[in-house]
Amino acid sequence: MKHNGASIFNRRQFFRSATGLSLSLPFLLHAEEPKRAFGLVNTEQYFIHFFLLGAADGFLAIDPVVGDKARSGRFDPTHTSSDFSATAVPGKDQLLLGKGFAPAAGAFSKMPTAFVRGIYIEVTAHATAQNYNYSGRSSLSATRTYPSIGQQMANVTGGFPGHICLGPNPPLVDTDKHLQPRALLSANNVDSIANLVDRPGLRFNYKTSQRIKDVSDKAIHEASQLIESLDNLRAKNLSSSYQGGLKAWNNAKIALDRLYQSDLGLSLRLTEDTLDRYGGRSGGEIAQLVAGTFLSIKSGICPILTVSFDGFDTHFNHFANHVPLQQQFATALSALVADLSATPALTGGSLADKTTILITTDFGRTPDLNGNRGTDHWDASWAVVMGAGIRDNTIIGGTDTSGKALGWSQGTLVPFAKDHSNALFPEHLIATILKKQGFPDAASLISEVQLHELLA
Amino acid sequence: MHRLLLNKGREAQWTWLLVVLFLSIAGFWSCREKSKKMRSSAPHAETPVAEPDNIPQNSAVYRLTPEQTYRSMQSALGITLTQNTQSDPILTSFNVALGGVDYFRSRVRDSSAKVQTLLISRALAYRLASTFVSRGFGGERNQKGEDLFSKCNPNVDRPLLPEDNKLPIEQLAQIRTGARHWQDQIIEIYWRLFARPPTTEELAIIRETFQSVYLAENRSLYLAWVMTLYAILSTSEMWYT
Repeated sequence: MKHNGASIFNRRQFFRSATGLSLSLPFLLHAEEPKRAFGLVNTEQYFIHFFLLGAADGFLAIDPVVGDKARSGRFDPTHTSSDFSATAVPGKDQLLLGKGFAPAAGAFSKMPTAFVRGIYIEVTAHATAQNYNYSGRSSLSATRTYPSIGQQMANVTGGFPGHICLGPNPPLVDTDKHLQPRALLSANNVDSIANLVDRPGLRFNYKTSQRIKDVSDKAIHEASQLIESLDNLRAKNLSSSYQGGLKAWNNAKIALDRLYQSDLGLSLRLTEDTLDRYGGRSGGEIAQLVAGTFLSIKSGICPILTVSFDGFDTHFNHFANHVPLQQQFATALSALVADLSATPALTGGSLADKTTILITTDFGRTPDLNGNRGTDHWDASWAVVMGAGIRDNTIIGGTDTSGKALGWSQGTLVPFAKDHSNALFPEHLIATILKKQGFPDAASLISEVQLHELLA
Repeated sequence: MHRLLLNKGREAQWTWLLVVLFLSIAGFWSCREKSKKMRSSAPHAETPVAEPDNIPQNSAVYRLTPEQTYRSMQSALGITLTQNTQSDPILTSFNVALGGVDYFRSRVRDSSAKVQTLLISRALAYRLASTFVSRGFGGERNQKGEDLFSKCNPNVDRPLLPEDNKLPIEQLAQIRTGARHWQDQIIEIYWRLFARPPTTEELAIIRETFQSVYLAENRSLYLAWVMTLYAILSTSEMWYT
């Protein structure tokens, strides 16, 4: 059949093309797998999601109590005491920091940075708010989760590891679909990741920073050959359908061999020297996790990381407990940005030029103190977005003089609508980041509304 | 005469047709019976069949989850590393959530082999191999009171090396006896793990690898056993049934 001379497929041609495509697609995808084992395929870009579990205080971080807020009398006087005065980020007139995040001033100065204030969280229960802020999708059930933003990206990019989680695990699956998180490698710390990706028979001596080989490379090679030979011998006697079933296994073996040969385990070992830059042993778990984040990015093992820090839910003696935690994080963040800036990227520039960092938390904390001099849950949350492509020196959203979330409409602050129609929600932020990182389909599933003012 | 010959020719044609038909039916029947036998003698034949990866439906192949395999391996080798049956040993050790222990749900959740599955399976195989060999060399016994190395003395017995032929006859005879015990041990391990003996070819390449590792590792029988067992435990046959 001809249509005005236009060349179109007839049914037979269409069938041939479709069959060819369906046959070649799996091969193409499998061929991509080993390349993606290193996490770098077409463009060199990295994404880090830091999550401060337990609701970190935004007024001590990026929304300090100054001006009308300070005069409102709504905040505990400690917020406005001279010891808690705001710190300006060098070279960025819009960005002011509270005492908790003051040590990160240098980091915000080095990278394009935007602060997002007054993110409205309707339900201030930790589990539901965490799931919401990790994924951008709200559920009133603590057990009904959606994948975190990092896992949403990894589900698209594939490869292994496509997503590394350090610290407590974020939500990784859509619980309604019972699907296994794809391409995930998670551990409490980076050393556990290193132990996994090292080939069997390797140990690391932290005192000498040396690797110990319990078994020689030759012996490992011999064992690998034996595995391959035994698999091949067995495959000969199997039906073609069985051999087809082993295809995925054999492809994974290729990627695993590449992972072992890449010797990434050694570059993931956290030494005292590195840890010292991030706050040392006194920096606690936070210092270890952020230092591990840098090692993971530098080694090239994986381009997407979600790193979660526990302990910010301080209902007692707020300033004494909460400020040091935020300062530990800010100190480690400062070291991370310094290290990323000093490390060349594979495709030119520094790693800082290729990295986007998102910092979020459950929700906010009350402006005044409770009977235990602690703070309680507050529905105005906050976030920080840093990195290439982010509009620098920018404030999105805001809080009013009593610390409540304001509305955000067409790039300007407006009174908060009772029907929440102009509220700034986590999904707006998550969808914007997903789209910026090159995942428009995943973004459109989260929200059609995006924060264009956030992007350069 | 001509007509008679033609009729005989037709009868012969019918006879041939009947013979061919009979052979076809007999062949089909024989294949079906053979297939039934093969299926019933396969390891875990009683387990339900599901399709993993891109295997066509109703194919008699599917993959156990690493948690399931890990438990089976411990049980087969007679050692216990997983004390608490309530906790997931892989999640506890590596903080990696894999397939779980539920056949049907894991098939849906973890339907294709991933590098992380393989990564964990190798780590588990090495851990199990080194523990088994270490305990076996220490003379430990399994829960039934039997030696872990029940067919050979792992500290002494090994396969014959080409250079052994230069040894005095008595010493050579001892090594030959040890080599037979070593082989019996490999066969026994195969029975325990795969419910079948190794084929001659498999035995030959296992022997070759054992010898190579033994020589590469300064004649360490311990490491030769660890690496050999690690390789056997890492085969696809171990992780697929």
